[in-house]
Amino acid sequence: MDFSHFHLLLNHFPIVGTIVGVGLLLLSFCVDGQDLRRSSLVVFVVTALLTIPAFISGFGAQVELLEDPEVSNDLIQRHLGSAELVVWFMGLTGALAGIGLWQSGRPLRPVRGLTWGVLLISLVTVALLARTGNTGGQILHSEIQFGLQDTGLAAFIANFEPSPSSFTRLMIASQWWWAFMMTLHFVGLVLVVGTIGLLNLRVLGFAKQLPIAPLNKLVPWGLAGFGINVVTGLLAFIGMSAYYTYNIAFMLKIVVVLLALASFALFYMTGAFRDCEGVGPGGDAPLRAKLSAGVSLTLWLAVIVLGRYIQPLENSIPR
Amino acid sequence: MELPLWVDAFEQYGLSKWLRESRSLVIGYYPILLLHTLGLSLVVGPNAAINLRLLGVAGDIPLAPLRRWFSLIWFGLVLNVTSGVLLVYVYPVKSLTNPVFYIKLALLGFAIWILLRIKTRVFDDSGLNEADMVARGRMLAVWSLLAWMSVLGAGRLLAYTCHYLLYAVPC
Repeated sequence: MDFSHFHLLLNHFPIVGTIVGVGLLLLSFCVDGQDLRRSSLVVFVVTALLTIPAFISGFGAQVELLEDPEVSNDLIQRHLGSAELVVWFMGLTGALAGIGLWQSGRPLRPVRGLTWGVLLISLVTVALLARTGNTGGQILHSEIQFGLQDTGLAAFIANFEPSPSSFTRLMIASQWWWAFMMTLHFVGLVLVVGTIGLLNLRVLGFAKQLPIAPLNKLVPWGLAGFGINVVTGLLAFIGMSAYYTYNIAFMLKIVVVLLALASFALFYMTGAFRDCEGVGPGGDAPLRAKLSAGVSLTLWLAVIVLGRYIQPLENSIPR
Repeated sequence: MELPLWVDAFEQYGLSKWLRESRSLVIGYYPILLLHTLGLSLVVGPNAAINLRLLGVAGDIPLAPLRRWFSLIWFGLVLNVTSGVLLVYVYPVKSLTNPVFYIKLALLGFAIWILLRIKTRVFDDSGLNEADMVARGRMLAVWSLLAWMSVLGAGRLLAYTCHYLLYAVPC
């Protein structure tokens, strides 16, 4: 598989997306546009999600690059360290933006503080992304190389970057830590199934005595579960990058997770949810909502199946 | 640890051997493991939602109709007892020589006991109004969340620890 190609394709999304998001957000402060603000939050969430495959494809790209003796492993490790820092800030930006979107869709108190929080974190993220882009670009572009010596802001940021090899070792040092992480991963799974899954089932007609609208209030817990799983999943990937990279079940799982989230977003954005929001006890949801719920349920089920099949499909992608 | 010979005989029994050595994704060890995961999400997922509701999350979900979710929980439990027994059958020595296995069983017993208490005390008493149901269920919900999380934790730990893989084969 051509991981380098995927990595080059995907690694522009975080940088361009975050800059566009910041631009829209700043503009929304000037012209006071709710739509602009919502758009910027959408851009942040989508960008954060696309950062996951961008990050993950990096390991395979590294292995492919190192086949060339001319390529400097030190430059690669510096880039990896910067990526292992920015990914958390990107995730935080996306999570805060997601909370903002969820609240702006409901008649809740307007959350001004949150928007400022998103702006602050996203500005930090832009700086860290610039560093990650720079260190990444230098790996192959000798014409822009200014060596391993960092100066100015880059040197300041470098102080906060983890050493990739130590980070990896830390993750796999103890089976107690690994079991703890995986327990949290299962807790996240359970929260998704117990909230989004049950809402989907109700829309499809199971447990009909429940009105649909109140069930929706459980969904933030499911999204929190998803957040737990992004964090624990990334930590696991950092611990065993090669194991996951050359695994078809894992790579498909990442694709299906993104599809499941897209179906989640479409459920709310296409009006499928509005169609069935008013359905009371015993009521039947319209067909469009049912279709949407069925697709969502199928995708989350596929995520669990693929996750479980990572283990037997070790080395299923040729190196 | 000295294990009785019958465990070895058990392990060498054709079906156990066949399931253990099958790399198939349709029938064998991994599909059983998959059923165990699907079962746990059916047991713990609705459980977690019911517990959260009893603790005041999404307070306008009517409590009484949540009774219907117990059918998912029972189905999940049947799936997990079946797949769990099969998992022990496939790797008897690995399970029986690991203390975590017995801890998990004890925690599971406690979690199921709490689950049954919630079912009978909160949901089976049709004379209760919502406030009574919450009053009766609140503490049980806390215990239930803790218990099922511990079961999950013990299950994960079981996957990453072992003393013997097979009879007389240390890990």
